[in-house]
Amino acid sequence: MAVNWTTEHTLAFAPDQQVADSGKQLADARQWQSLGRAGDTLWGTIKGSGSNPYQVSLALDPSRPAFKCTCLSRKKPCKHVVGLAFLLNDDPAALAEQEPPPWVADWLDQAGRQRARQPAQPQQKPAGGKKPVDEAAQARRAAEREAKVGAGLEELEVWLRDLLYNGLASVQSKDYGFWDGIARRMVDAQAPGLAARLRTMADIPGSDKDWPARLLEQLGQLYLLIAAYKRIDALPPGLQAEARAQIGWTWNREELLPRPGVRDRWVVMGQRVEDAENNLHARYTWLWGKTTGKAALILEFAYGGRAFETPLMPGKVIDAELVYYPGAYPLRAIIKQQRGAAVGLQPGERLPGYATAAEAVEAYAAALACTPWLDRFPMALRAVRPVRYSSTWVLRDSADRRLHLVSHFEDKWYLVALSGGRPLDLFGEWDGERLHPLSAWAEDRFVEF
Amino acid sequence: MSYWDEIVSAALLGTARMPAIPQPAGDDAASALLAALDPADPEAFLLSAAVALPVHRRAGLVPALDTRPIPEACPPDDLPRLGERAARHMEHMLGGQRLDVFPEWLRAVAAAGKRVSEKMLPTLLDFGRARPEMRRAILGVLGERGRWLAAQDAKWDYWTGRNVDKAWQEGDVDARLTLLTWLREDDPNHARELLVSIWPKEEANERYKYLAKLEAGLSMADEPFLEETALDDDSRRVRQLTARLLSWLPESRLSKRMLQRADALLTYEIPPGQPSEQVTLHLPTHYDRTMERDGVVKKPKHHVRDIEEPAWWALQMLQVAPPGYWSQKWGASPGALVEAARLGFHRDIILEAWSFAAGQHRDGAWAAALLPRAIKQGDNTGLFGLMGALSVEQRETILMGMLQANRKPLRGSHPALMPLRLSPHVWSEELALEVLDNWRRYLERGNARPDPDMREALKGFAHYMPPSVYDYAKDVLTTESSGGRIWDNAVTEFLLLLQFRREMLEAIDE
Repeated sequence: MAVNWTTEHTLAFAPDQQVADSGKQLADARQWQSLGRAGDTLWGTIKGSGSNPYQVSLALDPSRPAFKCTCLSRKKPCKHVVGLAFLLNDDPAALAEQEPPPWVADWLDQAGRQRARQPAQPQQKPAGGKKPVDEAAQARRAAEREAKVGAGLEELEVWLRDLLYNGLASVQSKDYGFWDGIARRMVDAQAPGLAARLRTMADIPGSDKDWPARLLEQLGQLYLLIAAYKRIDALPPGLQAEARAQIGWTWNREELLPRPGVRDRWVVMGQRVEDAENNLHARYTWLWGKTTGKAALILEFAYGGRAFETPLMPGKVIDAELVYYPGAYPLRAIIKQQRGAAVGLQPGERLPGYATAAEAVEAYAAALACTPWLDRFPMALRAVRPVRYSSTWVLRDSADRRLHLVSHFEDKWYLVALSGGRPLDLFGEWDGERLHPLSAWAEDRFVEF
Repeated sequence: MSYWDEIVSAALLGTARMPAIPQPAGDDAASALLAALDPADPEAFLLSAAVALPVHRRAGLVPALDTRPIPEACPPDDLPRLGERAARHMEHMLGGQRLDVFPEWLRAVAAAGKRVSEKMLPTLLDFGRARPEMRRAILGVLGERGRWLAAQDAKWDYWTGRNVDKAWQEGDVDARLTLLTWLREDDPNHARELLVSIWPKEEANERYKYLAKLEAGLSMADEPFLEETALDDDSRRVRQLTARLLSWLPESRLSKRMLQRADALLTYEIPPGQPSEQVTLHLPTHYDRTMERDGVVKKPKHHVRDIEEPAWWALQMLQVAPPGYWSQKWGASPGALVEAARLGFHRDIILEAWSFAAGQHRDGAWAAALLPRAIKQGDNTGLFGLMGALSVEQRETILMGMLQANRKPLRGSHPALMPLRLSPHVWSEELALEVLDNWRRYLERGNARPDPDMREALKGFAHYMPPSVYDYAKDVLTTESSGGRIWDNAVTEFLLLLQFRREMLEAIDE
């Protein structure tokens, strides 16, 4: 077996227990009309409720399995795909190595293209297994992509202008398809970063009374990306990299590793896990260098209930060398090498952070001056007190300057209880106007929200 | 309307309807930037403004100076906080799972001298709002930090006792009832004064509900109001409730009047031709208004019990008299008097009244003497009161004695089963093992058939048995029996609860 795919992988891969159970029932070669495999790709046909058998295919990759089934189940993956995965461990002999039938070959072709568009994640490839590089072909593919993106952005600009011509009020009556349609076209144009932005915009209309302003800001950010790409060659290298990353060009681990790293004792300041599409979870982990004072974001993805690859415990300190993704204000990074195990913060030791709110927002403004696409800014604050004024919640610093908390932060009273009316150290994400706390250090204790 | 608001309005409307975009009037950098744009391209103008203005605003944000007064800091807390596992247990219980164990948990935390961690405080304070009867127990685990936190928000005011009068003025009936419940614990006189202040204005139904709250913290301080006002209320329900409350105060004028009446009803003497003393009931001959005022109901509810009117009046009067009165008056032990009553006339009336009174007045010696009759007669109401009147030591001694004297299987027919079910304290290991040993002997027989009473008993025993017997209980109960699936399920439930209690108590000490 080329990949290490175990029964546990299958269980984690199944969207719920019900699918796992019925999938297990299908891990029996006698129920299938045909079965086969070609390397990491498995397929089979199985009788369904209709006249045509369902065509089931699965490309194994523990971190990002791809699959397709022609059944109508809303569960993704469905029991047929899960059954096929179980079969691999239960009865590997039933899956004989062979040439894929045309429907599998077609799908592989499509899936391959789609994978290129998905948000990349650092993946370790077996060392020494490098294929010979066909530089000419690479250059050709790169040029093709530039052309596609360019065409896609043109289309997006027309779409944006139409939207402004008709007025934002018109989108309230539109369904998800309106956003998904243009997002799909951006996927086809190999600009997945733009597609992701468009999909998140679908939730904005009507969400609260400020939605028009928030939507307009988001549209403005897109427009700025279009404008930036039009004159990308004229931009300074950092901003070029930033714009390209925003549009959807990615870096893989091998490309990043040779770049110069930053070694420090990094405090794991806080963590946030977001549900992305297709049962995929994205984990944002913020690090803060004790010596360099630099912040870094480690972004990882995991399927279903599977653990994230790198163990990063908030409140711990790691001695590691990080490599930043190129950008105008580099934050995202990978861990190139970690030395020794993570250790806890010692009593008496504090979280790093800005001494005053003014210092913190100044640092934010400086970052914003580097890149206008700064979404969330890591902000560590020393000695702030959470205070409530009727319905607004603020943090007051030692100089009696205040910053607002985001309204959807649920642990406000917990934060107040932690402080007991005294200053504490706090870490969170700053969106330019409000802070979303992720962790705090109070009475020699690290706590996560 | 700010310039940004104008831009948003224009975008909302669309350039088709609003071709002329408002132009910037400011002299800041963003305005200068926008002024350089081509006004003939309104869509591009709006999209550019959508970038420039927010970025400009964010980059220029200066944290506002804020010198409004801040609440005083919490005094330092010297109680150690509970650990993570205890917090999870609490979350589990408050989430509706095993809420029935929560009072035990609260007692154990308070006894261990710990406090709830900051993380759980908001949840606990919210929970307690809907459970005024648990307020005192919860207060015991809040620590300085919890009490401080409660003072930070009006919704938790009831914890701190601030603004009681204001809350009383503004509250509706339910809010006032809640307020009364906990105020009776903290300051019963203040609670009564609040009630008296609204008394004449309330409807009978509300008066009844408020009055019922006086049960908690009842004392002679309440007597004047009850005797002089509430006992002459227009509503019969209110009058009867008042009489009942007064009858619980042995020093009340009502209790004394009732005792006087009861005193005339019983004699203790050796009747002619009999070998020993007998207690005899002399039925009252008339019923008057003063009896009615003191809560003696004239007509028995015949559909409830078959009793003649004079016997019914006697029962009600005897129930109020503290049983200790008789042992003192006649210089005889409760056991001797119970025996003497059994020989006499109308013995059922006398013993029923004494059972009730022993429970009401928490007279352990009398309760112990009356217990066998209640068990024999299957009088579970009487039994409930009697078991409650016994101290924990008395209970355990009696229960051990009953179990050792009667080696029959502890099923529905065993005299100790119901008393055990009515003993909701945490049992000594000795008692729990005695119960389990009985079951072990029975279940090992092979043809054991656990009955529904055993099954029901398990539900309570899971709360009463000390978790230290878990392993033994598991051993005893999971042997093969012919109790069927329902029994097996009951055993599983029992073991799960006992295990949860064990973990929960262990976690408190971590």
